[in-house]
Amino acid sequence: MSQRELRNNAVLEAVLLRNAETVYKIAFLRTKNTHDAEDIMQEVFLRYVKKQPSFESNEHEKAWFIRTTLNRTKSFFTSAWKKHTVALDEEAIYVESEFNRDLFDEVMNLPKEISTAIHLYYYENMPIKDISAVMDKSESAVKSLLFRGRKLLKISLTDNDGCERNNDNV
Amino acid sequence: MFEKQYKNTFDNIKPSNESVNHALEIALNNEGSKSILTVKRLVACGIAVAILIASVFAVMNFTQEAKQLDGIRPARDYDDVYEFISASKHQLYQHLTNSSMIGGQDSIPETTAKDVIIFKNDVNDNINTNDFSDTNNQVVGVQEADIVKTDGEYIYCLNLARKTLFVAQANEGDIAVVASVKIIADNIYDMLLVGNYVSVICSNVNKTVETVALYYDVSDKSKPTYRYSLTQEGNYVSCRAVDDTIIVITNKYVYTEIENNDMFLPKINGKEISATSIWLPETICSSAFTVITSHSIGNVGEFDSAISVYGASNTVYASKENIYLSSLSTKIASNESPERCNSTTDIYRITLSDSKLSVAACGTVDGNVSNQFNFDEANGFLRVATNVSYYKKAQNGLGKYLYESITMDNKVFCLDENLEVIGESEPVGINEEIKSVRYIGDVAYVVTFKRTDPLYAIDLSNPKKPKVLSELKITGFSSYMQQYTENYMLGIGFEANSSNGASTGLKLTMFDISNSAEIKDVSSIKYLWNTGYSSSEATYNHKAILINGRKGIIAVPMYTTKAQIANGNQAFYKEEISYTFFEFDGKSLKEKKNIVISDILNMGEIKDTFIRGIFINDYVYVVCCDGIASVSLTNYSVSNTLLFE
Repeated sequence: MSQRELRNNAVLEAVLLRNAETVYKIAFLRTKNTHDAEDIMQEVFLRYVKKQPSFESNEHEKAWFIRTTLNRTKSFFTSAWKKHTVALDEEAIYVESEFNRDLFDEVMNLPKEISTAIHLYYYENMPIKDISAVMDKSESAVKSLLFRGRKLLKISLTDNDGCERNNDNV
Repeated sequence: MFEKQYKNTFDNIKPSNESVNHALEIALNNEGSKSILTVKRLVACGIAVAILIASVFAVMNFTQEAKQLDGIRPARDYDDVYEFISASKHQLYQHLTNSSMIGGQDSIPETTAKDVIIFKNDVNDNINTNDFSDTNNQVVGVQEADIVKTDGEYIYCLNLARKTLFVAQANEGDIAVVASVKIIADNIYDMLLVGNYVSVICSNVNKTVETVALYYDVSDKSKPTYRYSLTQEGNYVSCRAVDDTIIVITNKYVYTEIENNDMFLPKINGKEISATSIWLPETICSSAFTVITSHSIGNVGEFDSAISVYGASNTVYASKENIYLSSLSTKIASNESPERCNSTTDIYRITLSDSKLSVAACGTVDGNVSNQFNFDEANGFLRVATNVSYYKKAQNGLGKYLYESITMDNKVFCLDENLEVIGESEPVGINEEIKSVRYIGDVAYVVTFKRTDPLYAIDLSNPKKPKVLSELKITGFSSYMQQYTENYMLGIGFEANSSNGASTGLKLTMFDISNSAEIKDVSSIKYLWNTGYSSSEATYNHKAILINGRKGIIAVPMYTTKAQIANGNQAFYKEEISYTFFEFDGKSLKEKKNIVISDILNMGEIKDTFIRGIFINDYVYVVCCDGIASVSLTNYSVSNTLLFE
């Protein structure tokens, strides 16, 4: 039995659990509803269990999950199922007190490539180099997405939000 | 500013526990991928979370026909169950209450109130004079399943990585494997040691998930022999052993639309359960049959009794006479207050008498429970600590509904044997969340948390009027608490930044509880995350803790990763698994000895991180996936090691 086969479900489960929120958030951002986000999360989990890739570092592991989620959501939008399904018009999200609804609505209304870049940058704290790798875009394309996103969200650049983080000049 | 607001906002977008569990289940069982999307979609629609707590108090004589219960009834026949489920699917579909914030898992800490619990078994006629530890059970006399068990002379290790049961003889620090048995199952979870039998709980996936209890006769330690197995449909939730009776609880989800001629009832040993032993509650929380079976050793190959309650149960609490299932539901805004609703928990009491199970009561309390330690039964009363969230319904820009949290508080309820609330405490910890609960005698110790940790002591000696006695504020919070000696209680949890509530490290605290009106924080020890990351299974699984006040043992497993910079700026991590002993001299809590198990047993690539410690006389035996190490309690040095083959 190889080392890999010996990795039991408990280990797989731990990896999946620590990436579940990351995957779900991005899937939600891109599909804009909870049911599809859950579907995507499940597909990503399944893919991980089937492939069982090994990772060099925690960053690498996270990047794999993000990349897979992005790819899954891409094919999701073109699948026949999606084309023939009408979105349910009422659903519930439970939110706690520090929830900013205006911000949430604005982000959800952004084009999905822009909101993805914004999310990876501000929520997952990824440097631009890594974002460009997981999104399959050049660094300057990511910078431009972030720039457009900031403009749409009217984020003041004077409040120095992460502009100098990781030497990313945007 | 923006970054912080953005993070706070998106912290709220998270998957429900149920959807994560379901995704895990599908992925790990690797079911056929084609039907998954469809199934998943139906599930997503069909799910509103439920956690049932079956409930029972004093022993009651109860027969199905003779007594009417409020809120729950047994099914009349097969068609009755079918109609009920069809209607419930419709109802759930309409509500589409996706419960993103609702917790409720059984994977949480428990403790024993007393020193050593020696599990009495009628079958075992060996007179054993050894002093040894059992699994860290919540209730004295109710055995919980774990991966390591001992009878005082032999150690039974269920090795999940190797799918093998090892039997090792332990004698004053010497260890030798006397037998090993390969276990053939898709997933292996836990085991129980009852008399001369080891019951291994595992599951197999065919068309549906079946939970199987395999019974091995270990009267001849060198030759454990497989005797029989008992199967019940559904995913494993929890199990208990009371004397020689073993209770296993599973959830069988009903994912898709069912047809009346389908075999949709849960199967017990391959046959459908009789429709009249299925109980249908008035409020429906989730599309699943919770199946509860009892079996006494000796009744070879047969269940003594099997019943089912409709609605998935995740949190199970059991005393010697009663099993409580709990299911969580969010009450949608009622007519009286369309703008306000709150989460509620339905509790079911199931009596266990002579290995026969019967539903005895059902009731509802406000709020949700996080684990089995939120419950306690004493003097015929059930005490439940819950976290109550209040929501208002609002429409957002996308034309969808949001439930916005207005406020939160926490309460302790006292319920009688019919599960009617007879008293409740005043709300404590406004806008804070319960992190851990421990009942010691008539006092409930409740830790709530937002940025700092208040520890409340609530007097329950008059169940009609629970009274808040005191409040102690410290930084961080305990996610698990257990009594150490009469006057002291140990808390295991996290240190936190008091300005924003972010966890900054592991923390163990000793509390002086000699006067519950004035609890004191005596001493604490911290492992901060500034140099490396450390975590411990003890913060979420009570079974990982070895604690004994009489022998002065406090030991927990630790898992640390230290960043090591190599190849430019890419960080690599070194993993370390250790077993740490602490000592408490009445004034200060100190680390006594940290034994790096991953070095001693040369674990190489770490396959799983489960470590258990048990003591027999003056040695602690530390069991991990690759071997066993014995540690002398006189000088805390490793005396022997053994590697599994």
